[in-house]
Amino acid sequence: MTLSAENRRKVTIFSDLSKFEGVAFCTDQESITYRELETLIQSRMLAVTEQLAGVDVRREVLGLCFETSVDAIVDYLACVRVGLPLLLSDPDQPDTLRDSMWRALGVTLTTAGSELARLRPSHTQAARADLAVLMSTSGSSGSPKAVMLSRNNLEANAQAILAYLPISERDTAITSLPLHYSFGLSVLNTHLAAGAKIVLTNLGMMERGFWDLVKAQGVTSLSGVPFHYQMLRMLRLERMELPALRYLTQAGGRLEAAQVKHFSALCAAKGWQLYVMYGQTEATARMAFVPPEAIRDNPDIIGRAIPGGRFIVRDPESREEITEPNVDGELCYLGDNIMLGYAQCAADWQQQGPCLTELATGDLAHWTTDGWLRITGRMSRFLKVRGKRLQLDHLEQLLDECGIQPAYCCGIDDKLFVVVSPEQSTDAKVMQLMTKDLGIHHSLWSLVAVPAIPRLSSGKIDYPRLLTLCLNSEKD
Amino acid sequence: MATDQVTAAFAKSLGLPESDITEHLAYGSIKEWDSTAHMVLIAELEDVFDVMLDTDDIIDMSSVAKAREILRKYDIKC
Repeated sequence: MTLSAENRRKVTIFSDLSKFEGVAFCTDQESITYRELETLIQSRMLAVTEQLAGVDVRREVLGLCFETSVDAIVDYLACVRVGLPLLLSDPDQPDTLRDSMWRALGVTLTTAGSELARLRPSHTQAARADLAVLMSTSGSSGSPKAVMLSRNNLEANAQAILAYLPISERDTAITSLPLHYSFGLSVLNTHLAAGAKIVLTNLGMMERGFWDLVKAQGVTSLSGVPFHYQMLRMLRLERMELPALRYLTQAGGRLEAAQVKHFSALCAAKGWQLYVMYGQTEATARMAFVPPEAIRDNPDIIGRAIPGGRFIVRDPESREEITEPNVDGELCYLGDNIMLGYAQCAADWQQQGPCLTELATGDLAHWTTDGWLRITGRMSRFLKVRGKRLQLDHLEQLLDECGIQPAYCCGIDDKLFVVVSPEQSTDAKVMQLMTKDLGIHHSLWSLVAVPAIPRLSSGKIDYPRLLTLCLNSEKD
Repeated sequence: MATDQVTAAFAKSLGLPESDITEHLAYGSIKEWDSTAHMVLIAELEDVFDVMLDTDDIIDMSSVAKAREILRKYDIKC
């Protein structure tokens, strides 16, 4: 796919935003124009450089609790512009989990009001030259594994998204997703790059205030993970009076084909467009999309690569490229939006490492006979709960640290199983960790007692068989 | 008894003991009552009382007392 002349122009997010005329952000209280936003960013940049006078900003990492607020967004834009590396964190994460992640990754600074607060001394080594942002890969479980992204990653992905989504200066989005989450951040970045308006709110789709804002501000697009589409279905979106709405976007996990059919029919009737998309934090956000005109006949595909990107399906063993249709392999992606790499400690982001050229997604996929891509499974041990990735090995480790041992985790998206042996009486502890600490609703996970954990001949846990046992126990 | 059915539906959906379900308990005031729990709650109420709630009623159900008020509109004694 070739980029139009309009979109071939280099997209910028981290430079002068006063070139745009209109409103950048509005909340239920105030609205801020792009010119005012630029002034705020510049004064924040000045404050940061003054407070860090004599300090090499590349030897710092600022942990930012990325609230959905003008202040936090100004912090984000100002820090990237002065070259101060950032770790974007979930503001609702429990302090203990955040602290352990920040310690592991060597976060030295955080924000305290309009000031910076020092948590640890500066590092003796500087960050790799291209590092701009660190993002968590694992929702809120506090796994220290972070994705390293450059300014170029963020701008390249915004540019590619703008080449296929119809975002213009006249558009208005709303923060239905948190900003510390790569999908939410991509909505912010693309709208900033286009000079469009974003309604900032912490309200969710189940609250009247959210829909009051959608109507009052003339929101033109809604974005969500599969969970949001369950809500939209329950709310019967088709009955709402939303004259300004133009399109819906979906990512963050597979939307069931039945839901895709429902929403594509609904969009056709309303004159809206439905964009089903595929991505990962490892690719900044987006890797693939289904053109709206193709979704109706192909409700179970991820479509094709975004402009500027390319997919290769590889044999998981030989790593040879698979070109024939309907043969599963690991989905690999090439493009300017591929992360620099993972960081689990300071040494990882200080290493002036080579850039990753091909991203192995961990998803199994094949080409269809029509040349689309279809995901068929997952190689890695994680699942998504309400769109957030949960690393199962890390969760087992957390359970172990809570004294619940042995405990094994398996599941499918939005259905997690915590497996213990029948003699353990761990309900209260598991409930505390899962519901209170990790905030996972009790309808999304089950505690299953399995007398004999199935194992492979190697002695390793046979997770596919364990999952079958758990799914069967659910049915009983 | 219908009154207990509302309390029971809230307790089940929010994962809390029935003693914690007071009339003033409000959406978003506790971590347990978030959008996920709200969806589960609506599905539970629709199931228990065999009704289909309107969009406005779903997003207006911001407290236990308000839930009762809304359900009464559907001729449910609670």
